[in-house]
Amino acid sequence: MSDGRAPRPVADDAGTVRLDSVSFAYGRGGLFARRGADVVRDVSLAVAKGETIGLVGESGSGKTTIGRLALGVNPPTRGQVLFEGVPLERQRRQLRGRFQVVLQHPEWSLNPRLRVGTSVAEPLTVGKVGTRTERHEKVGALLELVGLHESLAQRYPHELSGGQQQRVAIARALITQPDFIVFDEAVSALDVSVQAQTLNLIKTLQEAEGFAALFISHDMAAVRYVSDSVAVMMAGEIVESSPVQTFYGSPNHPYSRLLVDSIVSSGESLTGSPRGGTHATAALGADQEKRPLGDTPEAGAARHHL
Amino acid sequence: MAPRLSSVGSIGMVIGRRALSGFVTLLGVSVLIFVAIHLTPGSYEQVVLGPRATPEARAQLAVQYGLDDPLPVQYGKWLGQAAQGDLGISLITQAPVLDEFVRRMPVTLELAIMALVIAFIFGVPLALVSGLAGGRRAARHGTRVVGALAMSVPDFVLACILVYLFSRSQWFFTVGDFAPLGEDPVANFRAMFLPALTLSVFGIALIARTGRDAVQAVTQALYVTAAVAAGESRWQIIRRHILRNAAIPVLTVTATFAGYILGGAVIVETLYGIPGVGLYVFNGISSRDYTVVQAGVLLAAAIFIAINILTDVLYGVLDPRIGSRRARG
Amino acid sequence: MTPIITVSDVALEYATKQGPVRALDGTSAEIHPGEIIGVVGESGSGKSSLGLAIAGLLPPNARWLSGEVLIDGQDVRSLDDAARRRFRRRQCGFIFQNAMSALDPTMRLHKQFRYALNGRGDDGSVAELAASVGLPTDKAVLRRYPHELSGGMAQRAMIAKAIAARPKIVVADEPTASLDAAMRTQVLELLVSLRSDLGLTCVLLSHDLGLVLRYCDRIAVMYSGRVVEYGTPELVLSRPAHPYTNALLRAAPGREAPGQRVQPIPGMQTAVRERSERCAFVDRCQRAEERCATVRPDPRLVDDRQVLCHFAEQEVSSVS
Repeated sequence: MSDGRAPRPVADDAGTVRLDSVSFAYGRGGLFARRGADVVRDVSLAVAKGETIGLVGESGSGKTTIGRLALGVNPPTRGQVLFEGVPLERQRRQLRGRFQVVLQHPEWSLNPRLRVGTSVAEPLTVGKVGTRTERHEKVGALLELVGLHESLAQRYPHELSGGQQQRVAIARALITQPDFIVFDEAVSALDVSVQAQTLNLIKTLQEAEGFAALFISHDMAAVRYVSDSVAVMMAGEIVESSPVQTFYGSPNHPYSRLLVDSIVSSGESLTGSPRGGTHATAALGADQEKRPLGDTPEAGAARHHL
Repeated sequence: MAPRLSSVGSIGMVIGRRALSGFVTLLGVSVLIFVAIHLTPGSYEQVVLGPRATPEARAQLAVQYGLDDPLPVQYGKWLGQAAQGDLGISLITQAPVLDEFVRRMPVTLELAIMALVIAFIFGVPLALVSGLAGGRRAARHGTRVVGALAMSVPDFVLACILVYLFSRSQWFFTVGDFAPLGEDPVANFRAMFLPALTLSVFGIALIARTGRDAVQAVTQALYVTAAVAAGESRWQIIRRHILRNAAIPVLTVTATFAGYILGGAVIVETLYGIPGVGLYVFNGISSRDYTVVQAGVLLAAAIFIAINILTDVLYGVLDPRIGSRRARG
Repeated sequence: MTPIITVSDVALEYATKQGPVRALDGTSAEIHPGEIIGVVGESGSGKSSLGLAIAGLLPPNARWLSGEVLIDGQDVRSLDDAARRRFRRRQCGFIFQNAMSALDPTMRLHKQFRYALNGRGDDGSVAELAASVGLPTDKAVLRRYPHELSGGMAQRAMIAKAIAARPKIVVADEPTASLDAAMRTQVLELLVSLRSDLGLTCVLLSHDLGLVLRYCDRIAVMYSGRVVEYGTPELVLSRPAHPYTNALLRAAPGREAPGQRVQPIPGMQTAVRERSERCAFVDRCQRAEERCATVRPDPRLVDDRQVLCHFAEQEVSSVS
């Protein structure tokens, strides 16, 4: 803390993850390593205990990089990432298991050859926390917490539905009682009703467990729903960061307005709609990605037409 | 989005970079062979003069060939000569090794090209038929069994069988009656076909198997579904989309196969009595003609590196994604 | 006006290792020329199967059980191979969700366009095609390979290929799901403008109710292989007559007030194996009564839209 810029640890900072003027560029490697253009430029962001920050923006705007920086997966090129006022790189060992991530596709974090229970217990097993029985009990408790029956621990991931798998992934992230969780497009691949369950689960769990959360998504409606405040990214920079109420009203930045416009909110009327004419609207933007065609039974079918 | 670089420029750069690293590899290989050969029991003098030579005669020879110099000095001299195209003189025939290589190279090259052509003539249709047959079990298992068989039969076994069959019969193809291509093309073809076929069997199996998997993967790609949806016919889809996309993995194994031909040529030329580089190197090995072996290994390494560079360039041509990634990186 | 697409009581199933799975269980819809119709539903609702059936692209493990799809009065199923190819080439374009992988990675854009123009395309018509979807027409862009395009450009290229032969119908399967908000708007507005320029009829498969409301003339809500509600989106989405439509609206974030919770639909959609003699939604419906579990509802016209529910009148009036 000799440079005097890093904030001193204060009581307010308990459980807070802070990005302090962080920039990031991918290095090219090699002797004359040139840095690429900044993927993230001068971003400052704080996620306090019990709070969810939503991060929206188009693909390639640097959302996922922010997540990786906040988790300490990538060190920033400039600036600092701090947890409770201390830079991450100075407390790597202490932070093990206290930061977790939930990804878009649960199959990315669940080993298909391991029983669900084993996967959920894995962060504990790796950290050699508790005895076998203790871990076993904990897995049961967590599955229950995410609304799954304890018996599911004996199943393999492919025996579960997409929504159940995502719950398992969440249980796995929660088992170390983390201080901070990054949800990276965690509900984007889910169907509307499963998405609703998962979003509610995240909200409920956060109220109970009090972790800080960074919710990354390109789905404005989902972000607005779970977040306390929303940061809008564009080309590596945060162009607007406001409490979520602003996004239920009218946000400042033109791009934020475009995002909010993509959610057609109830009661509003759309003048000059692309279809021409004016009509009353009532509805929403459930905006989640369908799985690639390859996953459906009708998929890939056409090869046989050859 | 990457702006398109001039493809000629980027390919030139790739070749340049690869050639440079290839040259370094070649240098390394030359050190290894040199050391290995000097560590093997039995010295030059023994080979040339025989076991009963007098110590004086040996010493004289050593001075003549510079064999009493320290190893690094010997290597330096040899390298200097090799750089000027002088690969030394055969210890047995006293003829310059390079001349012999140059004279025999066309024969081996012809053999290799024939083997490649045969491998493609049989391998590609097999790959297409079995790849497009897709789920049909007979086709699937058929190609698998034939492929496994073809890949696991050693070429010397196959060569022995063919030599046995064709040397005792009067079926068009001949064994051991080599005639240069320039003098009698028909006799040349009759003599070269069987060795080329022997070499190609492994390639046929390799190309058929890899090609089948590639074709299967490509037929499941969304762009093929899109082509079906656009009303393209079966043949249009094969011609426009499947061949080129499936060629990419096949190219990789073709490079492997070309490397295999390099080694296989030694055995096959010997068994069929084809006067190519392979036979020359084989004779060199059996008569401990170190200069020949040394030059042969170096040549093989150089060809292998060249094949790899060529493959890399072809990759860039076939798969634009690789080309532009390279140009950027 | 006669419909250009008539889907009447189509039932079809896929043969799978676990036995037959019914994807469509009596699907009916009439689509008029020049309409953009949004088909919404969750995975397993059968919307993809409906799209594939209309485009004549059903996989070989699909088995047609009953009903027919008429395009311009012609039964798509009765076409022989050559006629089916002609139909795909000239009459019906298909736009895929993932444009980037639906474009041949080893072929330059102009060549793909040329093929889409049935090989007759010269430089002028290729440029014209590019311009019609808002792509730059200069050679440098048209000489690009797909991986050198942005996501939005790839989707435009895909649309260009689909409309190159001036089809009457375009089926678009989640054409904007992989695009961000700004691109999504542009691509959909392109579709809308093509509809009026070329008189296209567009079947838009989507899960995004907001998008359907904004861009579609009619909405078909699908559940378990049936169209459970069919009408104008303004009507259907503001005053749903089917409990499933209503549940879908309550489950999706976007309409909620700050602090209000979205409501997941209880239970799960179950796979159908044979013709269901009950309401498809009965197990998850809050309004369900005994009749719903024993009598399969027929399509009825309630409050200006077609609906498959015994209690549609009550459902409509329950929403103020």
